[in-house]
Amino acid sequence: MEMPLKLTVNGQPRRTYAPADALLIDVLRDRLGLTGAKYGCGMGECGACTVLLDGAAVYACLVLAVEAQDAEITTIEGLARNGTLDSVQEAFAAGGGVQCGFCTPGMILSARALLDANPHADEADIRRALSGNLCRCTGYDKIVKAVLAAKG
Amino acid sequence: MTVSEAPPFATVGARGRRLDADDKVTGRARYAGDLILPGMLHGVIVRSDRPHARIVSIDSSAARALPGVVAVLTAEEAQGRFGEIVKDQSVFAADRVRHVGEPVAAVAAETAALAAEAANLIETDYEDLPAIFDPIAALAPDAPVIHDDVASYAGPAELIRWGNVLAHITLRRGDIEAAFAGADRIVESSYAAHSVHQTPMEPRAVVADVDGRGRVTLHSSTQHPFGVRYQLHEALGIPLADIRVVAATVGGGFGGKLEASLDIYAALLARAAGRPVRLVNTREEDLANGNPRHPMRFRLRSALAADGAILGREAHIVLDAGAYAIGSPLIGGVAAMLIPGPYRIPNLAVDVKVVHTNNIPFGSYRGPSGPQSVYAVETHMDEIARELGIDRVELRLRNAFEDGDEGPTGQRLGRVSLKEAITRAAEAIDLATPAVSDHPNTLRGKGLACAWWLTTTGSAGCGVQLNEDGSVVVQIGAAEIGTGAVMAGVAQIVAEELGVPLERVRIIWGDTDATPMDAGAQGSRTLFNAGRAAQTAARDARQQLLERAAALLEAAEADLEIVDGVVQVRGVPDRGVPYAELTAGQMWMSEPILGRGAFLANPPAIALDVIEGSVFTVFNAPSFHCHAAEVEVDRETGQTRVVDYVVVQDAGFAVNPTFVEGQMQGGAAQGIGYALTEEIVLDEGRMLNPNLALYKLPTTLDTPNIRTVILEYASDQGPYGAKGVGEPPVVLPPAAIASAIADAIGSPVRTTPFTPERVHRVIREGPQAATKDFPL
Amino acid sequence: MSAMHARDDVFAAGEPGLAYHAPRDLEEALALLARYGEEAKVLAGGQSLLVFLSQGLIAPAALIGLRRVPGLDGIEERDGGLTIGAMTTQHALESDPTLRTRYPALAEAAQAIATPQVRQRGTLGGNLCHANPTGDPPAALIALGASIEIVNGDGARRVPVQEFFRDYMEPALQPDELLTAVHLPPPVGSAYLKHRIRGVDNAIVGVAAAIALAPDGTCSEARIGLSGAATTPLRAVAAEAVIRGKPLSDDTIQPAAEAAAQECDPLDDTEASADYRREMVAVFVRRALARAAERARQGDTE
Ligand SMILES: Cc1cc2nc3c(=O)[nH]c(=O)nc-3n(C[C@H](O)[C@H](O)[C@H](O)COP(=O)(O)OP(=O)(O)OC[C@H]3O[C@@H](n4cnc5c(N)ncnc54)[C@H](O)[C@@H]3O)c2cc1C
Ligand code: FES
Ligand code: FES
Repeated sequence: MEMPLKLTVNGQPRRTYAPADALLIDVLRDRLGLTGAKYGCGMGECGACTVLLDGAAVYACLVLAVEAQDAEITTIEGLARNGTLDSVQEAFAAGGGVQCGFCTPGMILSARALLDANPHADEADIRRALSGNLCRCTGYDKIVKAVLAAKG
Repeated sequence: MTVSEAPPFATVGARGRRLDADDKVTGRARYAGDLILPGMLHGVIVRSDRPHARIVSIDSSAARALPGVVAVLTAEEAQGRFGEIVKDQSVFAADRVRHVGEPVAAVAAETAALAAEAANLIETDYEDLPAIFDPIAALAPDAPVIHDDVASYAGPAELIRWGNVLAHITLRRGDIEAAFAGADRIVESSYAAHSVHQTPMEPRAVVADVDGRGRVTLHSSTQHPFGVRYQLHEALGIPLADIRVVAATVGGGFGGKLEASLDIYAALLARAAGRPVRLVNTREEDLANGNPRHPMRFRLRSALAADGAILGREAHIVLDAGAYAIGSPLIGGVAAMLIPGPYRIPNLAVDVKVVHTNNIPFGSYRGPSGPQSVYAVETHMDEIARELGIDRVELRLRNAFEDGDEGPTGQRLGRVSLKEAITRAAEAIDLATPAVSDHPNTLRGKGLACAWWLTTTGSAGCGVQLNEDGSVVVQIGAAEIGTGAVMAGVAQIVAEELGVPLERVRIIWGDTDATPMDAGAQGSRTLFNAGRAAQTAARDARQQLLERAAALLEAAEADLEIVDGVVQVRGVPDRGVPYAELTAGQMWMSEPILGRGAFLANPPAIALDVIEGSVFTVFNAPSFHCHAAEVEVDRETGQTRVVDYVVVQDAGFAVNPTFVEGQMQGGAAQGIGYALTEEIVLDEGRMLNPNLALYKLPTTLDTPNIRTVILEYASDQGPYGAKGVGEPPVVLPPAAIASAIADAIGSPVRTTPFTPERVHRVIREGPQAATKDFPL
Repeated sequence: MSAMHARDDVFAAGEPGLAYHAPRDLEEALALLARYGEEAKVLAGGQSLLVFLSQGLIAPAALIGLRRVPGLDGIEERDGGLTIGAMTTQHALESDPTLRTRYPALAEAAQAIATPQVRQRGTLGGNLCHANPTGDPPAALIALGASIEIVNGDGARRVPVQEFFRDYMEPALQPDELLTAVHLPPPVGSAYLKHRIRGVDNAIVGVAAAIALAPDGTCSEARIGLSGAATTPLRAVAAEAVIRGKPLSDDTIQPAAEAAAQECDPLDDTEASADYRREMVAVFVRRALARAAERARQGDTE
């Protein structure tokens, strides 16, 4: 059975319908056309689906859409403001933090959550904060450096 | 000598921003699994759950009767044979399955859940056959035979095959008996190396569309659009012209997306249903049904002079190919070339047997056969050094290839960066100073490993067009799978040759109808081959621009130069004409500027008589490498942590150093995963750990900072001297880490991976605890 | 015949009739549980439950979300000890200053769970009710001598934490019951150490130790909790007995470690063999006792 959903995504109210057990990732991707969050495992093991709920990084594959109604949801599509990339996005793009790009939305959002909570994060903090986001392409070095660069 | 002075280039050699970076950081890049077409159905493949069985019957009537199910296909609907090298595969098993996961049926339905439900309703009745999972046992004369007659499958004439052996490759040089008879010392050791999975973060995905006449268009996550098109044609009998393969943004491949896999079933289902069909692997399907790295066994024996010169080497290698051949015959040939190592060994007797089992088919994973072979060879080298009492670096330098040497099959090597690589890596990790632990529970060790690698050939084509505003559009058949070879490398090459800023270049790639042919993102080949085609095409366009400008400026072509998209008389900026002016009239007034580039590399010549049974005999544009590692081993638990890692790699020329480093670091991280955490665990041919909790990719916490040193020993044929850079970095880490662990714990670890448990056993019981020998 | 469950379509994902409830208070939650009985599943952070649901391993008729029930969340000092609400997230545990200084074993266990995203949503109560034998908090709570508060429509009961783990992934909980809180007695010196393959993995083994010292330096109380050492989280009672009342030194710690290795019955899987796990229990009991004793000595507990 489908139920109405009222979500706040990237600062916009969004209304849709979904079954009670619909996962946030499926609603974002299939109902709201926000395909930036990727489906890499569905079991909390890869981080490709990472989005922010009230600023904290969570796995959208392990959140019920109904339970995301109380929160501000931020997806990768909502990070740039007025066409200007967020500093983390810019640092990833400029510094080789992106290769295939499949991990990138989740990585960037995890990094953004970290820097918002701890603007002075050092390399060890960054590695801990990104430990729930797998990347198979980069070996992480340029990702970690991009986050350090974004910190400014 | 290194070419390290700043090159006289504007764009190549610089750290340009890749053209797809902005789409990727904003979530706009579209991957195949993001696409939805009108009327799209969802497909599922039904797979065998038996390793070896006769199919008694398949009953799909209940599935067909389920409302919402649009197509159900089995072997009756698709009977072609295909295969990368040997034509041994069929689309669906008809009467016999040879591995767990072999497709037996496919379903398309209105929703994914319905498709899954229908798949579960298909009843297959099996009668189990004797199965075999150990390649050594599969060599026994009385072993169950997996293919009734391997030699009956169409395939290259070179192959020597019988029973369960699908390729027997021999490399014989010099007089091996004399070498051993004259040796001061003989060192013999055995190694076993395991299988790992490519695991791109994006599981395989494809959307097939179909027109009224059955012409299919695939939007696929593929490394090899033209290869997929050919395999579809071969497997399904569809004319090439009725198949269009368009690569979507590819979320990584590493060899796992070279073969047509989901593509075949999506095309079949779409044609049967007359509607678009999407297939997206779950992570479990992707892990359990791929073509992962080959498990390999090694027995190496070297004849040595007291001073460390390697006089001869005898080697017996067994590759487990699994149930079907895919690329295995060729990969066995690569292994044969790696067994001598990057060393001058005058006398060789190498035997490689590529063997069928009822395991899943193993295939191409970045640097196929490399990590296993280099681990075995380099660990053997360390054992030799210890046996002879010679320093590890010393032993390697003594035997290392030098400028102008001959490779194992007689190819001329040209300039060889190996000694510089060894020296730089040893310096970077300070190998001369023993590692010391600052904690009583831990041991520290340092190690290094060397290897050589190749750049695959194959054709590449490129078109370069100028728009009326002087901007540039590149059409290229190569695939951008994330490395940056196309969206950074090719873009920079075109910008360089045309003298325009990178921002003026757009690229359309990997579309079998819209771009010229390319042999795919495999074997470290894209930048070398596609980059060269792009260079040629850009130069062609540039020539056309110069000719037009010469006429307009009434100057000789030789007197013209190009500065920032303006053609001008050398040294006279006010006598110049911008590209936009040269191209503005090209709709009606002038021909379009259209550059053409086509390339097929010439591999070096070989002394053919030394290798037999192989379809792979030469390392084109070879490159030489050395990695060094420092590890910390917990003496009580065996847990190994890589605390420092250095990659020294010959890139020929780094068109974009950022992405060359990206390959070096990303490849090394995968190699570290091979060494320490990743392993496909098979039980009777069934994968026991098909998820990302149990199949352990390294995380940020398990990957050290990977330091990089790029050497540039130019190749003859690559653009600006570039060589392949993608594969080599994954090839050395298991060897370098094994070397460092042995240094720390005082004994070699002769089986991979170096899990805490395995290292713990070797610490307690010595090297025999992890030695798996095998009879010849 | 196997066809993996492909799930990328929201329309199809809903079991007909699966209901979601978000009760506003404990009473309402308990009433719902009583009504549905076995048909309902309590949803806390969802970090284990939603995996099971997506995998088709469970098919409840209703999910009862606890997010809106007041009073289940938070860390509170009480009777010299601490009461932690079931819905307190693992992230809150790892970052709580009181926990970090006075009950480091629990803060360390929380920090050792999976990844930041899991800890952000995952709760202490959910972790305990999931009852995974390789979970981290159970071992820490065993060592800290915690008890668990369980409530149903008829009232509340308390059980010592080690009695809560009945069998493999089976908590001692009736379908109409909720775990509402965890009570910790006054603090002692404690530590949790985890041996795992990658930095985000489940434990090969995890060991928590808690030590109280008598004024003469002998060990007046010792508790040891083990993860990965049996089909349930385990209390190493034989090992505790070896050191209780004795001075803490290599001479007593080593035999205790060996006793723990003897009394456990470890798992055997693709991560590690049972034999290896048993040896590692000894190694990490030794290390955890040493660290807990050090903390007890330093009075790290206040
Ligand atoms: C990838 C991954 C890795 C993980 N690694 C670890 C690890 O290393 N160590 C570790 O300890 N854990 C690990 N976990 C598990 C994690 O700690 C979960 O958060 C935890 O097990 C469940 O907590 P939850 O709040 O998410 O509960 P849920 O998933 O919501 O519920 C879990 C179970 O408990 C029941 N339940 C929940 N709360 C209550 C309650 N108050 N009363 C009665 N029943 C209740 C539910 O009905 C369900 O059966 C991992 C999880 C994932 C996804
Ligand atoms: S898809 Fe959510 S963590 Fe992998
Ligand atoms: S860039 Fe490919 S997975 Fe990270």
